[in-house]
This record gives sequence, structure tokens and C-alpha cells, in this order.
Amino acid sequence: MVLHSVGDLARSFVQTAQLARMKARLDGLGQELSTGRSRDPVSRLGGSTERLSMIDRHLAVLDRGLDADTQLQSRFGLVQTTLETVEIRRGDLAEKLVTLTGAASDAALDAAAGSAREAFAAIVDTLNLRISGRSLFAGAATDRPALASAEEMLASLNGAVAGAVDGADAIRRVEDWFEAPGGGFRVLGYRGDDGAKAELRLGDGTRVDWGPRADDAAIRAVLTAAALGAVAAQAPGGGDPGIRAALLTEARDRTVSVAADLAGLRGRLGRAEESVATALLRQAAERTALSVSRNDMVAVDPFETASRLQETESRLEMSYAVTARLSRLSIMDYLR
Amino acid sequence: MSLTASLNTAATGLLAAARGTQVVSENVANGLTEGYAPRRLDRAAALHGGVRLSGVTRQSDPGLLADRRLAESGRAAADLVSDMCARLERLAGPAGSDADLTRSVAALEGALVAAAADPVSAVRLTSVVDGAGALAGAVRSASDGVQSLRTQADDEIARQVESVNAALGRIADLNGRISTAAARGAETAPLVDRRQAEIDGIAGVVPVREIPRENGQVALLGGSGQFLLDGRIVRELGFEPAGVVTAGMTLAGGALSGLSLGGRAVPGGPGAGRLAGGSLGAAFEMRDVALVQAQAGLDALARDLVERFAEPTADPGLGAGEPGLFTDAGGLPDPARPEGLAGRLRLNPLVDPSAGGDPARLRDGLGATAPALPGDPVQLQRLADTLAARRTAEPDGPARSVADLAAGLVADLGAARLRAEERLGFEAARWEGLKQAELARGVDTDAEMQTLLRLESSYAANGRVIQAADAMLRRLLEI
Repeated sequence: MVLHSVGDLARSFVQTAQLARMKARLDGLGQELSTGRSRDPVSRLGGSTERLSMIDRHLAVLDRGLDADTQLQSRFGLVQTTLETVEIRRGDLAEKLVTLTGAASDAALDAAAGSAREAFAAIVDTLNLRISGRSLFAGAATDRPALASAEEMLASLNGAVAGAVDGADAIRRVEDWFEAPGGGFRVLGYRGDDGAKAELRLGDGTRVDWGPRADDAAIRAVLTAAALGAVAAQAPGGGDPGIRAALLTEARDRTVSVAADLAGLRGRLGRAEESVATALLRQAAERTALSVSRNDMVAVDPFETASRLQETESRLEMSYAVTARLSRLSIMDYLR
Repeated sequence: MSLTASLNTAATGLLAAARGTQVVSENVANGLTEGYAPRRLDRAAALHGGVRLSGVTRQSDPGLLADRRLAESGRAAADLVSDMCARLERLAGPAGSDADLTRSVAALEGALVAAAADPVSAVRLTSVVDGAGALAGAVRSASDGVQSLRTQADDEIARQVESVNAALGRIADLNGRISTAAARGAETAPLVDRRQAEIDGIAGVVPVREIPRENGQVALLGGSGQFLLDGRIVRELGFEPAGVVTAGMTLAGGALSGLSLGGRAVPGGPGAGRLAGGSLGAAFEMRDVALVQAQAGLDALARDLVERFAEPTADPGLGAGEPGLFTDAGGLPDPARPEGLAGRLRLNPLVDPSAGGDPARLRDGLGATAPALPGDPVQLQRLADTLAARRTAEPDGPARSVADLAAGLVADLGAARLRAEERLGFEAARWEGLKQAELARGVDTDAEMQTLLRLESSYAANGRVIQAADAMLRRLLEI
């Protein structure tokens, strides 16, 4: 007898459970459709989510790397522009000195020395440029100026040249001031970082040099060329005109020859700039590729989700209709 | 057979119909009552004529009931595990979300890259300190969360033990009342209904088997054959809650309590032993195994962070016992307390402004005696390399970076949550099927209405017999 009846609660139990499940699925699909992302990427990836975590990490680090390299690119750009200014000054001075000969008049020598002194001061000022409070040519010691003031350096140079006996001696004294290990440039002229140049790391793992410093050989050569002429403005060797002439003709020659050194320095900086640009491109490409991978893992296809949503919706509606229909069916309505 | 005999017989028929109607009304009234077993009136032909009512029986299928109770245990256990695993996953993940621990590692890596590119910037140095502080904070709060879950598991065990003991007391009491009522010949069905509900309540916590005893009493076997109750004799469960559970406290170490039955430790192993299989066993499993493993994973990550930054390659100026960027409460990892290191992970106070330190020390090196040049990137590059380097923690283990460790930890928690959800789905489906079959044996109002119709006509027919016999008797008297 028991087998011929089905308890009332059985049907309502099943229906309630089914309705609850369908509504939960509907909610989930709705959320996926509106966010465009899977509601549970972990289950989509079957629990092996290391790749997703590492992609996220990679993307975060790439973003910072791109930022950092962009900033480096603009710093190198500033340095390059500054070096161009130095080159212009060198060029101007070379033009002004080109007409000088060994037999020039005092007035001509005065004028040339004055130009050289101006050029020296202008180049030192340019190299002492600070951007946002940081020196560009002082290496890692960005809180200090790259060079001492032009007056300080010239005062020291003039002191060094004061006892010169002839032109060649004077020239050698100026050279020694700049080049000798214990010379005036090392001791008081250059104020920046004189340690080994640090290597900078770009975001794609390549390395570039820190960049030009005021104690680089090419810069020293340019300063020497201008200084040779600048010391001639005072009275070197007790005012001997022969020494003055020798210094200024040497300055005339060197101002032309250092163009190659300066160009070499700018060329090396240009190659560093190229490395940075390449690194930026590589990182941008990697970023795009990683973003695509991430989307593949996490994003949902909106069309598929929308059609599943519609299907679940209609099943829910049918379930409601069936529930209502069945609840109206009872023997009670047929008795009397 | 005389006419009076037929009158008596018809009277028994009327009584049976009336009694039957009473049973129908009881069934219909209780149609929606959970745990109510439909009553049936038993009739047999009486020896001296008429119908004899031999009693009202409860319609229930003991086999189905036992199966459903076992499924209930499995489902309750899977439910507890699934809930805890979901909360555990949220402590360090889920993967791909903003709470993913790997992202904290990545933020620190990014901050170091940015600072190495522009070492002069105080803002960038501060953001390295912030990033490192955030990573340490995330690890610490995950560790705190794990221990909080262990405390909750411990509290849950205490609560469940109390509820089982209370239920056992009530069942023993019901056993007594049922046996008294049965001896008197009174109705026992409502008491049996109530006892069934109480036993169902225990079934989620500990798997139970019901064994019938004399006079309608029952005995209960828990788990794999441990007597919980026999008639009126109860063996109570015993458990000492720990209050607050912390990382070093374990069952083996004696700081946490196990389960006792009737005053003696439960046989069959640590935790719930032979009483495992329901939510009680699951709570022990979480407190003593799964959550301890999770804590160990976090501790390994914290230890790696402290150790790798204390190596000379990370900071050449550090002395022998000096910690680097990350510390175990200010120093190197404490060998006496390996568990819970994750809860003690802190930033080195030398770089932490809130502890009187200076972020510029990151650039100088923690062991350095003189400050570095403002544009010097070398030490910051070392720190970035240290974070990203692949390093083996154990001698034969794989070489992993900090991000690898974090991603692995997050993946483990996610996989555990998925497995627990799958298990719950399976157990819930099994339970639903059995529950539905059980409910199908409940009250069917349509069937009761049909029975009522039959009873109505039976009553009318018996009444007609009485009328006819009465008319015949009167005819006799009129002669």
C-alpha cells in the first residue's frame, strides 16, 4: 500500500532545490555578462593558477619598467641637448679664433682671449645645469654641481701658468692642470662623482651606461681647449706676449680638433638612447602579449554567456509554470 | 449468528471507520511536518466477529533512514570543509584578484625597479618602504586569519560536542518514556517521531547507526562502532576548548584538546578518531591538519623573505647576525619558534619612518656606515635582484623566487577550495536523492483523501447494516 503514494513534501523539496539552483546560475551568468570576466577564474583554470598570478606580477613590473625607462629617455634627451649647446659654444669659439696667427697684434690677442674666456665660462655654466635640483653631469652625486665655477677654475689655472717660462711650458702646465691625477681639475675643478660609473638596468634586462659626466675625456678636452685661450686673458708668464700667442694659437687648433671627441661622446650617448628606445618597444610588445594571455584565461565570451543566460531564463520560467500547474492539481477540487 | 451479533459486528465496523478517520485527520494535519512518519491503522478480522484494530503503526523505512543519515554526515562534513577552504582562499587570494598575494610581491618589485631607475627620488624610496611594509602586512594578516580559522574550528568542536551531549540526554529520556508507554499499550508514535528528529540532529555531527532494543528503545553506534547510547545509558563526549589558538599550539604538543568518549580518549587516532565522518571529524581535520599546513606554507614564504634579504649578496654591509629588509620581529628567524613566523614578519626598523628609520638607508645599505651618493643605484639594484632571484630553501628543493612561492601558495589554496566544492557537490547530490526518496514516503494528501472516501462509504455501509438489523428486530417485536 505504501508504494502507491508519493509524499507531498517530496515534490516541493525537489522543486525548491531546482529553483534555487537555477536562480543561482542566473545570477552568476548575469554577473559574468556585465563584468566580462569569469566569476571564478580559479575553477576555470582547474586550480593551476600559478600562470595567472605570474602574468599579473609580470604586468605590474612591466608597467613600472616602462615608466622608469621613459624617464631615462627624457633624461638622456636633456643631456644630448645640453651637449649640443656645448658643441655650439665650441663652434663659435673655433670661428672666432680661426683668423688668429702667431704674428697677431696685441688687440687681436686681447679679443681672442676675451672670447675664449667667455666661451669657457659659458661651457662651465652649461655643464653645471641642474634640472629639478639635480646635476646632469655630476654622475651619481646629483646633489653637487659638476664643476667649480669658471672664476675659481681660471684663478687656479692662472696661478699654475704664472711661472711659465715659454709657450710650450705654459701649454704643458694647462694640460697637466686638467689631465694629471693630482692636478687642479681633479682636486678642485671637478666636483661630481669620480667613482666607477654605475650601469643602469633597462626594463627588458639590457644595460646602459650612466651617461656622460663632466670628467669624461672628451669634456676635459673641450675645457682644455677653451682654457688655453682663457688664461691668455690675464698675464701668463709675467705678461710675455710670446707665451700669449702660443697659448692662443694652440687654443685655435685644439678648438677645431676636439670637435671629433665631442661628436664621439654624443654618438655613444645616441647609441644609449637607441637602447632605451628599443627596450621601451620590447616592453610594450611584451605587455600587449601578456594582456592577451590574461584575457584568454579570465575573460568570458559575451555572446556565449548571453545565450546561456537566455536559456537559463526560459528554463526558470518553464519551471515556474510547471510548479503553478502542478500545485493546482489536487483531488480536493474533484470531491463535491 | 443472532441479530444482536450482527449489531455488535457493525458497531466494530463503525468504530474502525471512526478510528480510521482519526488517523487520516492526523496524517493530513501533519502533512507538512518535517520528520513525521505517516500513521496507518492496522485492521484484522476479530475472532468473535467484526474487525479488530491491532494498532497504529508508523510508516518508515529504516534502511532508507540509515542511508540518509550517513549521507547527512558526509554532507555536513563537506559543508564545513568547503566553507573553511573558501575563507582560507580569501586570506591570500583568489588568484588573479586584487587580494592575490603575488600582487603585493609584484608591487614591491615594481617599486624597486622604479627606485633603481631614479635613486635620487625620496618619493620612490618611500614607496619601496611602503611596498615592503604592505607585503609584510599581507603575510601577517593571512597568518592571523589562519589562526583565527583554527580558533573557530576549535570553538565549533566545543559547540558540536555540547549539542551532541544534550541530544543524547534527550534521547535517553525519550527511550525511557517510549518503553513506559509501550508497556502500558499507549501511543508511542509522537515520541518516536521526536526521537528520530533528535537522532537526525546528531547524524550531521557524527555518523550514527540506530539499533533497536526491547520495548521500543534504541541504541546508537557512532562513527565506526563506538557506543554512544544504549537504552538509558549515555556515554558523553568530552572536549576542552582552547580559547584562542595560536601558531605553535598543536594536538600532539598537548596545547589543544582531543576528543574523549565516556571519559576515555576516543580510539582510532588523533582528533575525532573512530568518530570521524561527520562535521566533528571535519572540524578536527581542519584545525589539526589542513590549517596547520596552510600556516606552514605562509611560514615558509616569510622565512624565505627574511633569509634571502639577510644574505651578503643582498646587502654586503650586513653583519653576521643582522637581519636585512625583512625581519622576524626585528631579528633573524627564531629557531625555537619556526611556526608562526609569518605572524611576526616585520619591516626592518632602520628603513621604516614610523619606527624612526630612514628610507634612504635602502640606497645606502642597511649595514653601511656612510650614506651613498644620491644617484647611486647599485644597492637598490641588489635589492631588486634579491627579490627576483631563484633560491632553494631546502637543500634538494626547487629554486624559486618570492613571486613563485606566493603564486604556489595561492594556487594551493585555490585548488583546495575547488576540491572541497566538488566534494560538497557530490555529497549534497547524494543527500538530496536520499532525502527525496524519504520524503516520498511521507504523507500524500491525495491518498489520504481517497482513504477518507472509502472510510465514509464504510461508515455508511455499517450504519445501513445497523439500520437493517434494527428494523428486523423491531419487526420481530411487533409480532
